[in-house]
Amino acid sequence: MALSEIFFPKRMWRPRPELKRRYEVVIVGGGSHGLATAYYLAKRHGITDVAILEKSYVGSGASGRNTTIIRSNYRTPEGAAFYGESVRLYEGLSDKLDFNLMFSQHGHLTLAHSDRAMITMQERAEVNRLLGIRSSVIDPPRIAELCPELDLSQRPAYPVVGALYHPPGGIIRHDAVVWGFARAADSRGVEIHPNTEVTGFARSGDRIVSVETSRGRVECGQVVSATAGWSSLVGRLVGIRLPITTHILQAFVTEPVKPFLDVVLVSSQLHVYVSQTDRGEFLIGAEIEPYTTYKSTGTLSFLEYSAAHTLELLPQLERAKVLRTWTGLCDLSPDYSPILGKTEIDNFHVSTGWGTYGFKAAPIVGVTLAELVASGRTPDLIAPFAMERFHTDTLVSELAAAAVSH
Amino acid sequence: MRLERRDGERIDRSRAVSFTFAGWRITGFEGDTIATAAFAAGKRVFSRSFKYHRPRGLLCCSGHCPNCQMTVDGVPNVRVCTEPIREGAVVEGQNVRWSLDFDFMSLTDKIGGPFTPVGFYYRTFIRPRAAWPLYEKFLRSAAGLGALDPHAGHTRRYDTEHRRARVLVVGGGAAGRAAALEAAQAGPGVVLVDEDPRNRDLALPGVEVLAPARALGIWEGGLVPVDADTVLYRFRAERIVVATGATEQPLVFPGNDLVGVMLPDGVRRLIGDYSIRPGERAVVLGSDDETLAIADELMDVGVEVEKVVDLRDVRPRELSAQGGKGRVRRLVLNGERYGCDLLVASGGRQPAYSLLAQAGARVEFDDSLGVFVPTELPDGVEAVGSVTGAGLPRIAPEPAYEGKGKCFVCVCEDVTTKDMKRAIGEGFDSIELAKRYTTTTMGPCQGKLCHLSSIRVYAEETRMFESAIGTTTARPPWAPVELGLLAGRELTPTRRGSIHWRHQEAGATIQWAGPWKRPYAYGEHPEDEVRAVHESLGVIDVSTLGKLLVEGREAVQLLERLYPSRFGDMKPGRIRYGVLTSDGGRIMDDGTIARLADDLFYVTTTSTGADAVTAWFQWWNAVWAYDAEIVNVTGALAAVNLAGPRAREALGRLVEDPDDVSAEDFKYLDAHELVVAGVPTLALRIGFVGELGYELHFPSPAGEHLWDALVGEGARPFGLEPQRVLRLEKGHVIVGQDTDSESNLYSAGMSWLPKLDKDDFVGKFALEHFVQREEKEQLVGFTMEEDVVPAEGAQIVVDGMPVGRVTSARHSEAVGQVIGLAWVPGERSEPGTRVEIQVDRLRRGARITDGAFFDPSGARMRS
Amino acid sequence: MNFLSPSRCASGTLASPLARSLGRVGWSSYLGEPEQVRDLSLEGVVEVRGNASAVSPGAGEELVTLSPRRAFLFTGGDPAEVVARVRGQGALAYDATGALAGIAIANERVLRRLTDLDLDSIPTAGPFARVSAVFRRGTDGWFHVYVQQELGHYVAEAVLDALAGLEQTTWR
Repeated sequence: MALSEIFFPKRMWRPRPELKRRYEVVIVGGGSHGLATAYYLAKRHGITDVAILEKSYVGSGASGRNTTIIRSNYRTPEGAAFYGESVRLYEGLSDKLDFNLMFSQHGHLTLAHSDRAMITMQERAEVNRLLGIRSSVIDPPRIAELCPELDLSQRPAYPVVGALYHPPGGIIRHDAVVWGFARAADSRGVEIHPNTEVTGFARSGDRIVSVETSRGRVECGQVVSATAGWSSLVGRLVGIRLPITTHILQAFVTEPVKPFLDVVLVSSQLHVYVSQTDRGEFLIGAEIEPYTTYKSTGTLSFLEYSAAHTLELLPQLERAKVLRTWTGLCDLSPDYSPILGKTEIDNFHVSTGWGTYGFKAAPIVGVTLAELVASGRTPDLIAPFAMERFHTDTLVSELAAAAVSH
Repeated sequence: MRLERRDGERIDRSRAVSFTFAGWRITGFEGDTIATAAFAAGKRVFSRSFKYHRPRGLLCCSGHCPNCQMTVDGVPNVRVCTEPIREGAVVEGQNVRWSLDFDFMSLTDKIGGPFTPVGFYYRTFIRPRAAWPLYEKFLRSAAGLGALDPHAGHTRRYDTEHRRARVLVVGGGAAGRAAALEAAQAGPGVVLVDEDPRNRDLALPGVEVLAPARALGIWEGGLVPVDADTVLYRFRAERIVVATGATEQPLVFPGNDLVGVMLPDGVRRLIGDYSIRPGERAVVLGSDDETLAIADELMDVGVEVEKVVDLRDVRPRELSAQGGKGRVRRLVLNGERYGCDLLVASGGRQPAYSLLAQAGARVEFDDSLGVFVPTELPDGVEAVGSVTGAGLPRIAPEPAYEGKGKCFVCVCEDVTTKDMKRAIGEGFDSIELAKRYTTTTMGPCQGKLCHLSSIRVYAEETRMFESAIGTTTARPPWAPVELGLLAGRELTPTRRGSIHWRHQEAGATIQWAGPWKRPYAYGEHPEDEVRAVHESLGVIDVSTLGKLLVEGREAVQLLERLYPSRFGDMKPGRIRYGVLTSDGGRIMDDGTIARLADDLFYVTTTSTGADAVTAWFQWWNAVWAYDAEIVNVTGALAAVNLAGPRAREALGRLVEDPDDVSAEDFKYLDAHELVVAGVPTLALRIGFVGELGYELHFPSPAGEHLWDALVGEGARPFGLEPQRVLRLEKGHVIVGQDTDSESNLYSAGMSWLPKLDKDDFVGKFALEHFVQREEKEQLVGFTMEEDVVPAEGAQIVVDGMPVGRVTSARHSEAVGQVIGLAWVPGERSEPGTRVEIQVDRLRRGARITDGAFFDPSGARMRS
Repeated sequence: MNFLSPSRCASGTLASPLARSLGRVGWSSYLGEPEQVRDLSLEGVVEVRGNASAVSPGAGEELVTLSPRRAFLFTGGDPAEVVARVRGQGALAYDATGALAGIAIANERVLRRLTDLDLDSIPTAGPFARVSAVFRRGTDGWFHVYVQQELGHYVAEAVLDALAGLEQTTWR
């Protein structure tokens, strides 16, 4: 019972001074996907001989740098079904993990500023509804009811003409998701090894037999890579090429002010999304940068255009002050849909190609990858996202609706 | 409280200024800040803390700490210690229930402590799930500091100005001034930026001084944005000299946040600049000569100094400040009590290296000083003065002192040493994790006053060396900056054709179309405009079309390799439709290609595609190095489409010889140069809207003239919406609406277009693959069984699942039905197949057609 | 290619893209000076392609070379004739008069509010009010800025707005 921990603090996860000689499953990457996979391996399949190898601290990558938005209003039926399941899992996760993830489901508004954009909204709403996901196209008067603070006048360069409204969408405390999964995995026997960098893999034919790390070699039964922006580098260590490019995504927060914005606002036209956290900070992010890089230095122009675009929506934030800005790495696939599951190496599984959508998928990735690792069979829900699709030309195009749709 | 007039004071006692402070009328002097005037008038509590709502008073008096954040004239989180006094200002406390002096929420401090340790919110209100939204509501209402008016609009004008400097010096202390003066000897172009309003009138020969102004960061290429309130100066500097000094660090001991506990520099400002006696009875606590020297300065102004504690000599078992109602009353040291209303305490100074770190410098722990110092500065960036650590005393011996009461590491976020220890005990065993869990250093001071202490406390608890722990990442901006200032002026590049104002004058509804402003329709009834085109004559402004000239000996080779079509066999004066495909064989853009001469082609693109297509052409031409030039003439030419049965007749009256436009001499898909109403024109006979039509391209400055001439001939202007109906009646595809980034020529029903027997063209490899496979989906036409128009984006449904989508749909008067284009599964794409479309939660029947709804033979447009 | 040449249009048929912005009352009085901006849009410009170095500008002409294969020739003569002359010199040429909107600006600070370009590098091409522009100095020392015709109105508004801003904020 979590409440008792207020008075009697307990360790969240154990320190692990030694690596064992062998693990049944080695998971590369201690972010939300790796930890969720470990948790579900232990919980649903009884596989606890699992090591998570994290080169820094848990949640140090994309899991701790995203803008915490959860939603399932995707364009493709495959995507919508998948993320729909993820949102359902997220809704029950605080209870399951016995850790309050502070999932704040006040709704998600994707704003349209042109009739072309309205077509995309309509399409997403229709797909979503058919799959049982609450989603609808609404007009400015209804938007005003949900978010009276939004500037719906003709003043902005791109006035709002409508929105896709997704009531289950919202924000969550991202670090809590990482910590909750880490604690639950650890309590079931999974070993979490921070400061352990994977430096190579030894293969025998189409199988990986061992993993080289900065702390020595471990043998392995199966390997899962959940390393987001670093995926193609891990793939290269294994000896396979992943169709991934790495880009940076930037975000910033303001000083806390009294909360007044409950919904999440997204505008693809303006390349900006805005939410207000339970601490009162405005959390603002932008589109993925168009150039590929691993360098985490942000840019001034990001701050400038994001600020300008935010004020087009919410001019009252003019005197709110930017407190800090940061960047994260995104792993982009050619069709903006993830690459999930098997690879040409028999015992090497990947979770990559997330672009900016990875964090939203953490629990369902955990469930499905765990099932794949445990059973050897690809669950139906993720079959469309197999790497194979780039050879069979059966892409799952979120690209068309992508622009920015956090 | 005010001392007698002193040399060097910055107040003008002859000019009184009044304002209200938390409801009290206060009068200070010109030159005061809001905080100093209020302090002089006896006010001591300026804010309530973030979590525990403890009363907080002046601490640093230099605009860094969170303690004096108030709402001034509706603007929240203003640090009033540096905010100049102004007549009539309304200054209010924030984050309080009731008042600054009596805040109900401070119950969290008095009794909530055991229930609200660090991270308590992760452990509470998990079950029942239904209670969480309620609890969250409470959390949200308690969160945040000041309040913004949620319904305010823009209130001030902000500008951006780009500047260049040979040498940019950040920091106007002794080291910064010396560096600036030295640089000025070598020539002009030296700028010094300082955040202190007291340096407003600083004059240094040969140096431009900007104050108060803050350098916000150092980005690549010597880019330094400087916040000067309503102007953001974006400096590009060849050399940057950072002289940001070293920031006094609060000493960490229980009660260190009580009102009356101050840093020495803050006290010095009150005395020296504002002639204020900061207290009656003081205790001084420190471990360096600079801090301890404040004792003499206090005595000089009549403050009784009760005790001076030099922490280098005394090793306290117990050290704490205690008080009542949040104000300090005494220092307790090893059981001894020293009464005071002012406790001046400092642990020493930490170099203010953030700008350097963000610029790319390394930050290392200096064992001899006990602080972090910058090393390995990037090229073009230098550091001078105490930011380098030079001349600093050693930091206080203990990271934190023990005693009774809350002991704050981070005053912004109300993080105590106990919280830090607890986080470490819970396994948050990296400094970044501990930071994220406790939120230490994440408040408004951006770690300036708590970063070092947090790391030292962390090091002690984990028995690690500070050097092994390292620092947390330096994240810009260095000081909080208003969104409005970063945004600057609103600038949205807007393209308007040369006929734009005529549409405006005609009362057209103007809307965005990509980067352009275009008429949607000229009245409430777009269908009237459609009818005019079918029955008589219409004219639409299509100046937005992308227009390229491709000229050169190898122009035809270039085009044949860019497009799947063939052009080598075209005669000059003829036109062909073309679709560009990406390397992946997907549809990119479409338009017409007119051959004007053997080595000269005129290419049009979609309105939104001009820039991308130009870049695409140039990119490939650079790869292939053909002898061909690509010239974007989009803006050079206005273009209108004159369409309708009367088009020939009307045009005939505007050209010199009506025979020039006769059916024999100017055939469908011909391109001719004409002079229309005195304007040299390239006329293309094409039929996007399905009627006899001429697309006229001519110098854009003549736009209004020619438009007027055509309207004068009875052509009715029509907008985008009628054009969409007209083209849909012909089944003409709009790239980007009816196609998406995965559509190819075969799935989009244009299998006649690619010439796979050509040697090579962009996308050929992919098209060869597509031609052999079954397309999963096909773009087809459909007619509705009932007179309902499905939304564009509506889904084709089979067994309750979405299997396809409507991309265009309109009611067509000419066809007498609702018609549209849709993507459907390959097995349902045969004309005549019945499908169901979800419309407003109901399934409606529709029949697949081949898409040519109106005049399928094309007789009208060829006439 | 007469259809590219405004100078081949009958007289009285041409209008500047800046007519609606700079034609407005009040624009000339900022900062108390008689005139701050001027419309250059209908002055002759020729875009040179191919071997730009083969082109020799005549009297009163300025050649602004953007790359070895691309230049703008600003001319006081009839651009259609200049096109013919340049083609005779072995380069390709196109009348760009209608393609560009031009605005002359007296105050350097207006430039600094709208471009981060090093003003010492003029003549050159670079960003201006978030769009691409070509810059040169007039013989009167004014800054001549050219943008795509269809962006002319937008840019002129931005220039006037920057002037208004300078009037409001004092130097600092």
